[in-house]
Amino acid sequence: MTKSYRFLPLFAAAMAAAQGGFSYTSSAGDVTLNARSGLVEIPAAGSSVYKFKLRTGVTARSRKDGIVISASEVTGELTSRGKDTVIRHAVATGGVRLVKTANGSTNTITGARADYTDQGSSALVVMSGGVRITSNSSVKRQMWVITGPSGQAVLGPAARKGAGLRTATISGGARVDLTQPRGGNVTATGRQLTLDQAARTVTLSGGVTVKGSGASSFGTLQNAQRAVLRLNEKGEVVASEVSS
Amino acid sequence: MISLLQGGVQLRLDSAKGPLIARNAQHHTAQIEGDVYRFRGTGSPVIIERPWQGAVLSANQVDAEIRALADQTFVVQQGSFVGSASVVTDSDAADAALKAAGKPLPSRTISERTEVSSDRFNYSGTEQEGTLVAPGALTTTDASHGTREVTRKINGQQLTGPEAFEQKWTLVGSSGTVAIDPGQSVAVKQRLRKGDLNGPVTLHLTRSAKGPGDVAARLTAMDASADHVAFDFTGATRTITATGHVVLTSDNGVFKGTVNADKAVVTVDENLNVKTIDTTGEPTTTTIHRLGGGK
Repeated sequence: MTKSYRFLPLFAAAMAAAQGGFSYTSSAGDVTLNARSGLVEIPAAGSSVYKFKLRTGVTARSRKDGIVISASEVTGELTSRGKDTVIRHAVATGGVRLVKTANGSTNTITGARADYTDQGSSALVVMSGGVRITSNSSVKRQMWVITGPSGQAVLGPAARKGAGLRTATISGGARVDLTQPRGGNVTATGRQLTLDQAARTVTLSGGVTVKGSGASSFGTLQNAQRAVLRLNEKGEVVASEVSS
Repeated sequence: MISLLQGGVQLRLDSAKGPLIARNAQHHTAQIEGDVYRFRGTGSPVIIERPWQGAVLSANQVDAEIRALADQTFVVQQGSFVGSASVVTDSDAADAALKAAGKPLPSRTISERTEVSSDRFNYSGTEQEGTLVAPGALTTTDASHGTREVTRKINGQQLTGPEAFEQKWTLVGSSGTVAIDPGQSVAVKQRLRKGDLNGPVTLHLTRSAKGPGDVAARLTAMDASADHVAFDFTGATRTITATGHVVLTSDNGVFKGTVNADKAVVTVDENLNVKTIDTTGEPTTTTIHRLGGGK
């Protein structure tokens, strides 16, 4: 396999349009890469994997997956999935912002570092450094925000189907703020938090506190070691299971 | 904080008047359905309390519906309490909670603690009254102490002044229903409201009072047993009615001796101080009237 990093001649036209920066658009237009500077490794014979290393003001966009990654630096790989080009793997560092849109909802992950891996039927994002995950649903008129020092998220594969964010787990001190569709907020904290969109649950463990405010009727929960908050289809907290 | 964390989980539902707190559960689930909180918990015991009213419901297993009233005050609307179940309303505890919360204390000169306990009971309630139905043995106690103004006639002389007293009622039945005022509103003179106890029922009263004209405290002690006892303290005349194989025993204060009767009706004042005892029976009928405690 040839290991020579250089600008791909194939992308010379796209690069020229970037006014001194780096720009790449896949042939079908489903992946675009933009940065101040970048290198792409030509795939070895028989391989369809493009390795790239982008620096300064990086934006990597995968239209099929509904993924946009912005960061100071992104190193990763592009590959083919059928007729599509997708981001197979990307490690983003420095002011990372990963946006996943799907089915009327927008999930935004920010942090100091994100390691994104396409797993075929899903994508795994491992995050660290002031992690913040937000979800806005225009359909449910609901929003939640998860914060913590590190964690990981599993994303759905497609831009137009599924929940976008399937699960999110935050470790080392987590907090979730749920804005209720009919007003009010529920805020929960614990050492670890797992959000499961399919099960519509938020599971917290370790020094769990939950506080409802405004129009929320949840009340305040303290001194719990584990709490499972169950949400309805509107994103309202409708039940809890708590252990000390 | 009004309540302390004493192990176990604490779920707190706040309102402008004060919170409802469910605590000490090792495990609980809660479902929110509109204004109703369906709470199920296990603990040793699970405690549901309104500290600002000195009201506590507890049991090892609780399945309760907690409702938010129009003013967002939360009350236990109904529930099943199993395993060392009890309901307590305590004016001293209410005052301590209000003081801790920096809220004004009600003006009262009498403290009262009422407790009904059983292995299990079903409870239904409003903010003003809670009724529990116990299928098994239940014990009701009402302990009060404080000072009240009394007027007494001693040797033809009318004396008015403060009387300090301490009193405790204990009623034990094999099963029954008891209604109490779960709150500590000053307007209500005592927390026990109504009761219907199936026998064998035993009743025990002790009272110590020292008022105007007394050199030493006057002591009252009375025991009673019956097949059935009902009490109603909600009306102008507060009565305790014992029926079936009624036996009344007193060594001092109320009377001296033992009375056997088919029925006894005891009237009490607003502080549950005995005013009169009427007993009837066949073949003998006995009626005893005695002025109790002061007026």
